[in-house]
Amino acid sequence: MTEQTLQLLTWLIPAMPLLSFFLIMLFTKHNKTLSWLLAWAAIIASWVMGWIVAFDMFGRDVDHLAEHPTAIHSAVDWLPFGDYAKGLWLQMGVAVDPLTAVMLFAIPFIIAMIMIYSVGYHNYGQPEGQVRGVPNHGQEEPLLSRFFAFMSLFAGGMLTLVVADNLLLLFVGWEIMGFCSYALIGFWYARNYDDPKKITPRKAGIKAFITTRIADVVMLLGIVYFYSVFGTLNFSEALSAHGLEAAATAVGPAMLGVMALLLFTGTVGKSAQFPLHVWLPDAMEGPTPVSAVIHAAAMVSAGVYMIVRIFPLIAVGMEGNPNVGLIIGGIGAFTAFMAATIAVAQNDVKGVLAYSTISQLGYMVAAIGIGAYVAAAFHLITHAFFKALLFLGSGSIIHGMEHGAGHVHDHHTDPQDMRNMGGLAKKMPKTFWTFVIGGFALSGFPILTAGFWSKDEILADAFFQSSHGDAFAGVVFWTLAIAALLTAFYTMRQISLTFLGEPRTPLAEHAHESNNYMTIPLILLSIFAVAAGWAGIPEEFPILGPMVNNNFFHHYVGATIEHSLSELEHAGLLAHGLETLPFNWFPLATSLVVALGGLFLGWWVYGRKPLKSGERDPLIAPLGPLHQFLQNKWYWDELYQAVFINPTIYFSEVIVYEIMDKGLIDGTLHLIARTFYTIGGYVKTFEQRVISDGVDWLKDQFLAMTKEFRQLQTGRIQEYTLVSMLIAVALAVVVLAINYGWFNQLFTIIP
Amino acid sequence: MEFQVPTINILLIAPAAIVAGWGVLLMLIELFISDEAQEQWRQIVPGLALVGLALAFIQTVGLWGYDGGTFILADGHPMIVVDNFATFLNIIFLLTGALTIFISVDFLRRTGLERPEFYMLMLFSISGMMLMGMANDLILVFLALELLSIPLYIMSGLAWPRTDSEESAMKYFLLGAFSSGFLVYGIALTYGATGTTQLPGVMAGIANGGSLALAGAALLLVGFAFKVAAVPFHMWTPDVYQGAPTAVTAFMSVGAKVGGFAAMLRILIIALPGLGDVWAPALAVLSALTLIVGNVVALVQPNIKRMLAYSSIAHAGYILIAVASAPASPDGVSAALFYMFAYLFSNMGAFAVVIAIERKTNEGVMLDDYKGLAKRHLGLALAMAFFMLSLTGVPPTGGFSGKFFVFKAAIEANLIWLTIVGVITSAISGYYYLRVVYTMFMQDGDGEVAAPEALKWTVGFAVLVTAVLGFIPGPWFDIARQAALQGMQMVAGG
Repeated sequence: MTEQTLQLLTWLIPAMPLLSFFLIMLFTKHNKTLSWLLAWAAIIASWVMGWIVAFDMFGRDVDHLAEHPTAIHSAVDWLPFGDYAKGLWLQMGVAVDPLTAVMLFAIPFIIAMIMIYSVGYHNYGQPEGQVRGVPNHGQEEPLLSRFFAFMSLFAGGMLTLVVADNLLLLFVGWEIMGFCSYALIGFWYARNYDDPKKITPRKAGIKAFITTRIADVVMLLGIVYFYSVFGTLNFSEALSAHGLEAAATAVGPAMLGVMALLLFTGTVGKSAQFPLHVWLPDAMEGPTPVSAVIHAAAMVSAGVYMIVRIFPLIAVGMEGNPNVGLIIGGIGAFTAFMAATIAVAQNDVKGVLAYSTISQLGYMVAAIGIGAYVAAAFHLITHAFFKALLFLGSGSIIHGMEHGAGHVHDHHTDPQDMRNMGGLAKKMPKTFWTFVIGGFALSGFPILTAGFWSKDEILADAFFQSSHGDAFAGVVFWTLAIAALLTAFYTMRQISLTFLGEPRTPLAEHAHESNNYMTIPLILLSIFAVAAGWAGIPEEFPILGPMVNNNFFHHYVGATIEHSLSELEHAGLLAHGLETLPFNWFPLATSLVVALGGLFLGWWVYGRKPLKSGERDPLIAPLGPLHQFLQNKWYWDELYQAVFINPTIYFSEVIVYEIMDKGLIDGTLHLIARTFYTIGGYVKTFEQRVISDGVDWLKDQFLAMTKEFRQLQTGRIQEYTLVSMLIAVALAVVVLAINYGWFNQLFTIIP
Repeated sequence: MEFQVPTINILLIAPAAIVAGWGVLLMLIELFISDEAQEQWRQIVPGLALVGLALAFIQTVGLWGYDGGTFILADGHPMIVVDNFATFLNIIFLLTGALTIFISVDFLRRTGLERPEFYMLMLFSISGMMLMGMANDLILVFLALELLSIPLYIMSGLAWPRTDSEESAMKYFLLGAFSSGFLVYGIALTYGATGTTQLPGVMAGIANGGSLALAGAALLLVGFAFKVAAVPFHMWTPDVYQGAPTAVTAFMSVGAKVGGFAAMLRILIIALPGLGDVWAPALAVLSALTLIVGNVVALVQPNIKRMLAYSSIAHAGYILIAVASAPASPDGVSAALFYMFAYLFSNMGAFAVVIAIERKTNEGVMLDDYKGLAKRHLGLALAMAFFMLSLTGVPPTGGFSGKFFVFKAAIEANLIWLTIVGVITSAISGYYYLRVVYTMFMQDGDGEVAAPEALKWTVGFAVLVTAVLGFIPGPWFDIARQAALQGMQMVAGG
């Protein structure tokens, strides 16, 4: 495979889905079959090309990659910026380094799986639903083409972000995804609920868009600052040891930390971190494949991807004062803990997964905060696999429940509420087993699952640093450990409530397994939910480590910035570079205890004696008001409503509209108007008496004069020529005047 | 003074010669067409004209990279220069002609204006435009200008005996003649000041020309300001654009304007760089006036053609920004060239849609006729929206890239105040451009849309080029830079 071919393939990876978006929108939107086939073809092409590039990269020598991480790079001149003589251009291009390679391994494959799944999810082949903009249970989605168009656009945006070689192109992909997220959350735009408090899809879309927009504005400021400091937006140029050294000399490490924080704000919005996490649970109003791809596997992970990408900048910022790592790690750890507690008390099958996603993203952000950037990337990849699997599984469950609802003609029971489920293991065996695999991976079930290895690496990193005297890392370690316990607990709770015991409603009684479009992607994803973790087994782990692959992931992705970090260390900008962790039993034992302990507790509370129909959640009694607090999501929405939204509405309605606009501005205007109206009255009298008659007389004279000219032509042309003539003479005079400096004092404004 | 035979390389003037010769050839053939065959003849003339343009296009593209002259006089100076600057502009002119043919065939037939002489006159006019860019001598500039203009006067009156068309032709002719007067007088004064009409000679002598040279330069400027419709010499434009058949308006709004700028750039940059201190501020003021008047007056136009006329005045203002910054910024000329290239496609595309909506001559050209176009013909409505965005200067369109380069050049030339005027007037222009989009998508209405295949493909092509110029402007700007570079090198080479 030549370099040119690889470069071309890298360009084509995001181009294929974008092309399919335009083709569907422009040509095939009236043909559903053709539309989804196009979307499939495009994403499968991207998947194949992504794997070709990724495996080519995996095959390269790690030591060589550490010297030159950006192995594939191609860019075009985009806009000329700066000095003409130097020929400075702002370039747009694609680049593949080890981090991109692992993303290219995971992302296109997951999106392709979800695209395949979506065809079944939207009941392709069934009679077409008649109502647009609402879910038509058991009937073919009437807006199927639109769905696949936006999914393709989304895939294009995500892959653009992954292969972008500069911050601006990354931001373009970022914003494309933001738009698609908005459009797809509100996909069922006509849907309304009986309960007025329940958020509708269109409101959820707006909420997601506005919340992330707040973060994106700050991020854009960060990009502008980035450019003004580095003079380039290219990652490998700016974030090289040389570039960072120059920048640190120019503005100081503290300001680089501020820049990192500005960019990190984008992550807070996109990856739903506290305090901007509120949009993600409501985003579950979108169709389930959308939740899987946008709000679990791809888009929300993009926020973490971005901070992994700019990690050298954050690393330098961590040496500054205030320590950026404390802020990032603190937000991440708190989010991981808070979201895990909320997930314990949720009853919506997707709601649990939504908070679980927020919590796991908090894990990754916390890992970045303590400098464990490889662990963050590792968890990002494994999480993408198993969380996509879990979401698709929950979609399959809902699908089965809706089938039951259609069977018994019950459209009031909520098919997403886990209290209405139970006993689905027998009805939906494929969904059950794949969901268990995904759930165990999420809980970090030891040795086998991917989640164990990635979570363990984050904990090990945190422990390593706390044992070297970093108190903050200790706090992070224990917070994450508790969160991991909660994770295992609520996962087991979810599995028990959904699948174990006896059906609690007729819906669950008549549920049945989903079609092959849906189950085959589940099975394929579940393979990776287990196996993806084996790429990162620590080499000092007894027996397995050396046997499997000597921690391939760590060395490989570490190579992305290992070199520049060690150079930064030499330059004195970093206290220490990237280190290989010594193996330690303590964090491993902690991982084992929290994962197995959480699963066991979950089983003890929910699985041992499965809930009977009409029974209350066994946690309500012991937790008391705390359960209420958790179920209401710590009341963040209510708090924001009271603190931000209501005051804003009050400000714009009362202060701006009533007082400023109607009172002050209108009042002033009316006063002026009245004054001039009065004056106008006098002038009018004067005019009628004196001027009007006089002008009438003049006009008559003039008309008499021009009558003769009129016969010739329209009359206006002479006017034109006359005016032009006069202006030309005036211009000549002015030019002469400028030349002789008559206006020198007047024209100082013109250089 | 004895007459000297100049050295001629016919291949170098082939692009212009083919176009003009092709027009003559078609006219001659028409003499031999019998009355019965007239109908078939009308059917094939547009195609034949396109063949002529295509031949010239091939030769033009082949000349890319060539740097030299022909019609070389005894003193070694060429009358005609063929360099990338001229070639770049020639490509613009030929594309303008080709696009005009594509959008006007059905329109002319529909409105009963199908006269073969339309295409022949257009060929003559194009050859004049091409000579504008290639001329290296003031006399030739004047000849080219007349060759450009006279066919346009006739084309404006093509819809006789309709009074608005006749009025348009008459006004255009009178004002055109008037502006030619300025130009000739300017040439005469320049000759008086420097003793030559050749541009390199003028450049050498202008420094010692005194106020005579200045007056000459000022009059030349006025002459070109008429041609490119810069305020305050724009007054003919709305009347002429509105009255002329829409196909002619489309052709004029791009071709004649770019032709005027071609000669203006050539003369200002090659012959009058010494007076840059004088003409650059004057142009800057003209440009600011043009921007303000063009954009503000366009706000209140309910007639699309008249609105586009004022819009084209405004765009002349943006190009003038680039010209005014050319003496101080290395990217001024290339920004002007790129802007004209982008403007060609946005504007021709917009006029193509106007033609599709226009039912009869000058019927269906009001804003109200665009109500509900999105429902009637979504593709055209989307394309029109795209062109409107491009003309406003919203990314990712060619219009945005063009404005970006123009403003960049202005900032490099330290014309900050002019940049601010340009940006503010761009924002104002959003109001009337986006009103079209609003009308098309948000209001209901009905009416027929005449969109034959040729027109649809033209619109599609224009959308494509506008999008490409918006997404990846870099390579195209590089080409404009190469074109500008050779235009500037003549300054150094003398």
